[in-house]
Amino acid sequence: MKQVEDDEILEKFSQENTRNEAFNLLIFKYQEKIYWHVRRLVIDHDDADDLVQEVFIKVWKSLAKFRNDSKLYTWIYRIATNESITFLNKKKQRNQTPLDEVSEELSESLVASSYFNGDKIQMKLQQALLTLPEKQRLIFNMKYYDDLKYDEISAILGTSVGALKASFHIAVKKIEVFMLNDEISL
Amino acid sequence: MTETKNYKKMKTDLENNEWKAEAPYLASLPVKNPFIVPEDYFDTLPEAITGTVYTNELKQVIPAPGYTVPDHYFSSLKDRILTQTSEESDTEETLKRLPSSEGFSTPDQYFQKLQSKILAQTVEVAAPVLKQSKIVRLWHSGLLKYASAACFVLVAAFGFYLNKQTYKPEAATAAEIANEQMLYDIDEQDIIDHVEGNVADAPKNTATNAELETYILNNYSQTDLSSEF
Repeated sequence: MKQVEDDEILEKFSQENTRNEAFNLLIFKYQEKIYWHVRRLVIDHDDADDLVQEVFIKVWKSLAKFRNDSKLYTWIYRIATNESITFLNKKKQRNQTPLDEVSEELSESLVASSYFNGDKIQMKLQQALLTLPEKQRLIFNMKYYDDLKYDEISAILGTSVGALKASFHIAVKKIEVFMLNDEISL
Repeated sequence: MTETKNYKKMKTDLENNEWKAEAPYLASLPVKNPFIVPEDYFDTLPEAITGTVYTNELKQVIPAPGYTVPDHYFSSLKDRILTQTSEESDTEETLKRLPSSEGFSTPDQYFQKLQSKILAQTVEVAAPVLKQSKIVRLWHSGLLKYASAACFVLVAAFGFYLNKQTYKPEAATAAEIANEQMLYDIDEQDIIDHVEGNVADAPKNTATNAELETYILNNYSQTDLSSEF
């Protein structure tokens, strides 16, 4: 299946007889990007799987009301980000654990996960990421892994480019220190 | 216009990559996704998503199943649960207050002996016993053997005798039937006469006892007679 432009998807979705086709095209185009974005935040595959489905349900429900004042992928990314952060907050409330302990839980699930095949350096990088506050981790993932530009991240998160730059630089410095610390071994 | 565009792009690239100078080690690492997914996950994901979306739509279209609960069910539920748990805890407390001893006793050193008893029985049962086939003698004594043989001979002889008595050749039976048929045709008086006539024709013993005595005395000696009797 070839990837189609967002405009074509939106056009097809606006018509009743091609709505399902448009939705299938949209899933095909964005499922992997959204999955990886969510997975890097929640770490666990099963949680990511559930969240991706929730994201697309929301997309299906709200796409008819989507306005073209933002890009489609920006809009879907925002939904996915909000769903993931809501999930992490609920997890934190459910377990009544402070944020750093949530990171510890995520770190444990990272080690125990059967769907992780990175080497020691990759594992250490992920551990370093889990020491960051959620927002910094989110920004770092979008910049480092998804290779999004500041203005794109800004459109998704609704944060100014200047604030994003600051957050990202802080995150990078923390990770560099963590990675160069030989005392931290896995 | 193009120059301005290129300048903007260069500036953006510079901004987006200036972190590499601040974190050279991190910048030197290859950007690699360490996570993996189950096999064929992304092939099946669209189906899973559309399935979930469809189910979700159905939930909204189909009205609630219409189950109801009694009035104040949920408001009183907590109290009922607490009551039940307190009753259960009371029962537990009562059980705890019971003496730990059951009141039963066993003979002295019962359990010490029990083990050896069980072992003795189980070892006995478990010991391999070669099961010999039992030979049952048909004849317990010689006398019984010969008596049986005699019985067999007698039964066989009796059977043979009966067989001979009841056996009638087919020809003989036919002749008998023919004679009987002829007898019906002959007058009864003729038969009586014939039988009487036959008796009249039979040789009659005419010698007297005195004549017989004389004959014996003349022809046999006394020795012959005594040896004969």
